[in-house]
Amino acid sequence: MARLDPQSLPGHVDRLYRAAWALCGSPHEAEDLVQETFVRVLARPRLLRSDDELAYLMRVLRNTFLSSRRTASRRPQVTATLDALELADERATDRPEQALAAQELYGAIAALPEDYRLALVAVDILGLSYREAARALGAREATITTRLHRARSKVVATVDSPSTQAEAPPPREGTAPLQSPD
Amino acid sequence: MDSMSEMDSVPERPDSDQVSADEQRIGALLRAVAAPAPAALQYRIAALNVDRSARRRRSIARPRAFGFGFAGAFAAAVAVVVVLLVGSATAPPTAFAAAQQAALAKPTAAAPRSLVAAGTTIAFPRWSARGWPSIGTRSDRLGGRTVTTEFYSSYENGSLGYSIVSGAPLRLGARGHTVTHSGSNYWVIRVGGAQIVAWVQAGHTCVVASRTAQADTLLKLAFGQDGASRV
Repeated sequence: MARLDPQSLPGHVDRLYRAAWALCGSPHEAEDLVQETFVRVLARPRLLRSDDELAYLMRVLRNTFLSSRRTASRRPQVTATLDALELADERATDRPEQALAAQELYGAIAALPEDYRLALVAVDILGLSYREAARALGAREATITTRLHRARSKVVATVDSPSTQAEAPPPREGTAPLQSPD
Repeated sequence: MDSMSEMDSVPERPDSDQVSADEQRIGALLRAVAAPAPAALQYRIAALNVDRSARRRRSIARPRAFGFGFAGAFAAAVAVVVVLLVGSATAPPTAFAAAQQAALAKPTAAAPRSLVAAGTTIAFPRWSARGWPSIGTRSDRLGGRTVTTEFYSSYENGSLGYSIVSGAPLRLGARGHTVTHSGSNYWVIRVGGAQIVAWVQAGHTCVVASRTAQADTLLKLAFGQDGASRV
């Protein structure tokens, strides 16, 4: 067994953030989710069965996400106040088209049923192998393969559907819309 | 899209060309929107790591011995020392202890774009350009005073808390030493593992405290605050 090196964790923040965004569909919730994941991981020394930190982080991210969803569903719903809105992060981006495309893509992934979403996040966003994803998600490799095919197909269909294209802003001069590589 | 039946409409074994096309398309879409995590999140994660390392160093240096947690012992020590230091002060001595403890505590809310300390006209500074982005805030009430704290984090120096206490200035203790800069006095003291700098600004007590940054770093930040950022 190998010990998880806390010093190596910041190197995974970017990928984990994108995975969290795809899981919950909101960049702001994604920040909280990643932070909570790291709080859990750093709470005590961790031993890894294999050497793969990312697969371990995926498991913690998934568990944190699921438990936060359960907690949120038990909590009474409140309407946001003006004060809360003013406190919201008003990050500016110098690439608004990319921000919109990201919101659309991660939103489409977040709308998938949970098992399909987790399979796509583990393989396509975190870059785990099918075997690692199967182990991290507690499913058979063949199941992951099927879920992945279906999840990709649905997301591509959603993002490339004419209605989505019509809602998308026109590309900025000098930039090309996303094209299939083939 | 959220129904399982809709997912079932996708063939379990689609033809390999379609599988490959979807895989490549997803890859292209994800690469096109791949952006790094926000800087504030990266700082918060770095701060978590620093905080963890500091806790570990403290626990190695002084193992638990009295049946209660080290954090509790540390907080109690700060309170006791500060009460001793300001025991003859006209202001309630616990208020200063509270200010220090608040500055060394954890944030309870996200950092807003700008924050004015409750009961004062002092706005907390933006120290991002100096390598200390804001990571959160908290507010504590004690004896009719409000202690408003904003927390900052740095890759090199860990984290610090900046507390502003509403009401009349607190009398500072006789221990530690005083540094004078541009006609203002800054009281510097080390309590337990924490470095503390306190001064009076616009008639209110301000405290900067850190378990990871050195006194000269805190002083440089504090010097820039005298007469700045009032609303």
